[in-house]
Amino acid sequence: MIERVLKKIFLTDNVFLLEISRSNREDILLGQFASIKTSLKDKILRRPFTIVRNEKNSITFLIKVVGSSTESIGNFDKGDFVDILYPLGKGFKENLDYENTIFVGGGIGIAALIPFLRNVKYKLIFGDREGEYEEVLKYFSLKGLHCQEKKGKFKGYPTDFLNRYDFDTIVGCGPKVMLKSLKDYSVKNDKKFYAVYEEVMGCGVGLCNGCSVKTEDGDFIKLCTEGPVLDGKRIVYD
Amino acid sequence: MTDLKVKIGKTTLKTPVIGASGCSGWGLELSKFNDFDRIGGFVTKSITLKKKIGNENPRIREVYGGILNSIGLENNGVEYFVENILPQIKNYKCAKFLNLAPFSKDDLFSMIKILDRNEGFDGYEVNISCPNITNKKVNFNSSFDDSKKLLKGVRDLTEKTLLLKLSPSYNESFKIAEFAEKEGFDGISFTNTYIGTLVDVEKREFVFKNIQAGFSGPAIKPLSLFNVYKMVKSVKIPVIGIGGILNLNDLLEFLIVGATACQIGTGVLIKPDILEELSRSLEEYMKEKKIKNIKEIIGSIKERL
Ligand SMILES: Cc1cc2nc3c(=O)[nH]c(=O)nc-3n(C[C@H](O)[C@H](O)[C@H](O)COP(=O)(O)OP(=O)(O)OC[C@H]3O[C@@H](n4cnc5c(N)ncnc54)[C@H](O)[C@@H]3O)c2cc1C
Ligand SMILES: Cc1cc2nc3c(=O)[nH]c(=O)nc-3n(C[C@H](O)[C@H](O)[C@H](O)COP(=O)(O)O)c2cc1C
Ligand code: FES
Repeated sequence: MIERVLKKIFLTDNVFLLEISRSNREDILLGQFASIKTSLKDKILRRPFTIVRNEKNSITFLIKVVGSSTESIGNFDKGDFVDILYPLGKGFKENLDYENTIFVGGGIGIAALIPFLRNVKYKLIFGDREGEYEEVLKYFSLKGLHCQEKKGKFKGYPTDFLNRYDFDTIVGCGPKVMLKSLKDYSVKNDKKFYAVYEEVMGCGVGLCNGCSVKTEDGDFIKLCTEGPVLDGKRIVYD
Repeated sequence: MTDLKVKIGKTTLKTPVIGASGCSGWGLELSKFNDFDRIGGFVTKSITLKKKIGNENPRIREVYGGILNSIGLENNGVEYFVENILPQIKNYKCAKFLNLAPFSKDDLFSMIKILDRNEGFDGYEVNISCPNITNKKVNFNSSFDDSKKLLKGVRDLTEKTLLLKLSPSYNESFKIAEFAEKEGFDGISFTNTYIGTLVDVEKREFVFKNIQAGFSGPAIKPLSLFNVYKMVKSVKIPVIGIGGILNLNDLLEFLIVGATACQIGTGVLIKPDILEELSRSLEEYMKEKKIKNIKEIIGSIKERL
């Protein structure tokens, strides 16, 4: 599919918002993602990104520059063509009881939580190592406990603040170490845990088994077709 | 009428464009992106006799000009395939080849015996060239003698189209192909990935747990093109050209040096609808150049001696 860039804004030095046209009328479910192909010669594979907002005529991404593809996408200008496949992944269809759910985001992992946090009352802990996501939270009007590793009012890791809340379900997205400690916490305290997981992808559409995630029972599941929202207690984070 | 049909063994392909093994899934996902009435066909992921768990992560890394993969033949085994997957794909209108990855002669014979009782596919691609198998005993492609023993008698088990998939990383492949031809195989799929590796400089470790991985994508095209050309000279049965094909020009190059058909691997991962797109653009090219039959292209290389 080819879409066009409608808007691009850098919210921080290296995190930007990309809004593009939406010609695909298929329903977009919570947790689904898109994969974008850049025209870089040294990066031939597509790159996956969560669809953080979907409107009738547009979809939006929140992207952090970490390498050359994300850098090149960051250089898109209004009107540019975007080679993209969407919606991909199995949408999240469970009914969440928001009263009893805590959302835990770390860094750019917040992107995957944004679609869950629209027009509802929610509880959120957001871990922001360097304190660089202020503008992102503002832009999406996200409210919650905003912690930083070494400074600020809430000093520490997101998991340090879990016991301030009542909940029976965790939805988390962020670095593997964070997800791993959320798993340990959930196992110990008998909570339900949904992890929005990331793995390097080959095709993003179920053809190559490149995105397999190892599970506790010694098997593998394909993230791109079974995820990206997975039972976080089943995953082996290594 | 522009005729794009080619014949390999008993199988007629509507176009010479086939999805390669490991990059076409079971065909199910591919069917959402391609009109199967307008492509040649696809080869399934590798099937093993018993369920096989895949390799530990990482499984895929992108490098300059291509990708390295270490998937490790992940699949649920032949019985599962027959019961759960074949019924879903048997009515697809393109050619379907089952890629078989044997660990022994018994494995191979058992798989074909089980599968051959069923309808709904066109043939087998026997894969003795998986780059992610490090156990010497089952690395048939590295030894002419082991390959001979493995392949002897396979023809007697089936009437269906029989292909052999070979690795470019072993010189034995040419001799093995000649042997397969004598044994009655209908075609040679060449090339599988090149064996390569990748180092994590920070950690001073190999990136892949198996050390080695299979290298594919645009960077291998000149290598595979030459290998396919050599293979076409070595055997009379059809050669299916594989390696780094991403566009019409790449496809034409393989056909011109004599490949009867081509498979696309990495290209499908990047562009899941590439099989239909290449089939269409090949037809348009032929119309524009007033080429009536694909046979006018296949092997049409002018050699200056
Ligand atoms: C389902 C899914 C949803 C995602 N959603 C978002 C999102 O909404 N916003 C966002 O900014 N990023 C998201 N990512 C991560 C994003 O895909 C990677 O950051 C991107 O592919 C990096 O490409 P690059 O060429 O710029 O970097 P590269 O040069 O390829 O890599 C730079 C660094 O990023 C790491 N990396 C590469 N690919 C991935 C990956 N798939 N996951 C995690 N780390 C990776 C590499 O190991 C390396 O350390 C998502 C990933 C997945 C799997
Ligand atoms: C992710 C991936 C998985 C693969 N798995 C298999 C496999 O299971 N069996 C096989 O015969 N070849 C496998 N291959 C090799 C391809 O079928 C093909 O021979 C090779 O990639 C070269 O073609 P390409 O450059 O068009 O990708 C795989 C390739 C890739 C990239
Ligand atoms: S990325 Fe290819 S199967 Fe998931």
